Amino acid sequence: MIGYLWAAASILLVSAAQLSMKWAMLNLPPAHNLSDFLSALLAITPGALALFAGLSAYGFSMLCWVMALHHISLSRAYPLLSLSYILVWFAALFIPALDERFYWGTLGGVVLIVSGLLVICWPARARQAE
Amino acid sequence: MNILLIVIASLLSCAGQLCQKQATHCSDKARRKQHLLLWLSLSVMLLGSAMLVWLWVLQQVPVSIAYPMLSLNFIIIAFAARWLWQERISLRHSLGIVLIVAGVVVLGIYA
Repeated sequence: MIGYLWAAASILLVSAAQLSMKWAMLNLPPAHNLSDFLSALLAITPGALALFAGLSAYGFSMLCWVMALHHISLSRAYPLLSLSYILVWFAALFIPALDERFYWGTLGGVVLIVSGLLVICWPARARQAE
Repeated sequence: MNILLIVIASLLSCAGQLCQKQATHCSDKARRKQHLLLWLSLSVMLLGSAMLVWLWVLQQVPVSIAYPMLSLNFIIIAFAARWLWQERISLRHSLGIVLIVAGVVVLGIYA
């Protein structure tokens, strides 16, 4: 049980990390203009803080993942990772600052990917029990 | 162009993960520490550059489209494991790969 809690924490953190990094990159100057980009980072703008927060959340999510794998097997934990695709896709649509739009096509794409991951990762025993 | 960047980010992070696995494989006991350090630092470099490319992607592509496309990693790792360590790809695994590729292609239309 504790393993699943660590996995859930990891998934929430990695999803939050992606959303935070996305907001950061929207609010930082274009990265191909390296000097502008770096000076915005050094000036500790809100975008720079969000980038730092996102990268930290990403790091912590990896730590939680390692903790999760101490308790549950990789084949059980891996399907859970695909939840973060749904979470990020869904959350991004509801965060006005990210300005993302809903398309039926992207819903279809996410459903295909998640079902593919489930086909690969779902433990064989659970499939036989169905 | 955006799709190419996503593929590059995916390839770099997979290469980083494969280096982590390689770091744990060492037959020569005397040089274990050196081996571990070499492969781990290579892995950190690859993962770091993957992150830089990814941040660039985020500046141009909606995260709701780009992030699920990173599931390309699962496919690249499966093929790398087959090529490097001769791990078999089962029928079920192939079916999953086909579904993931289809999903990534659909998302790619919007990227």
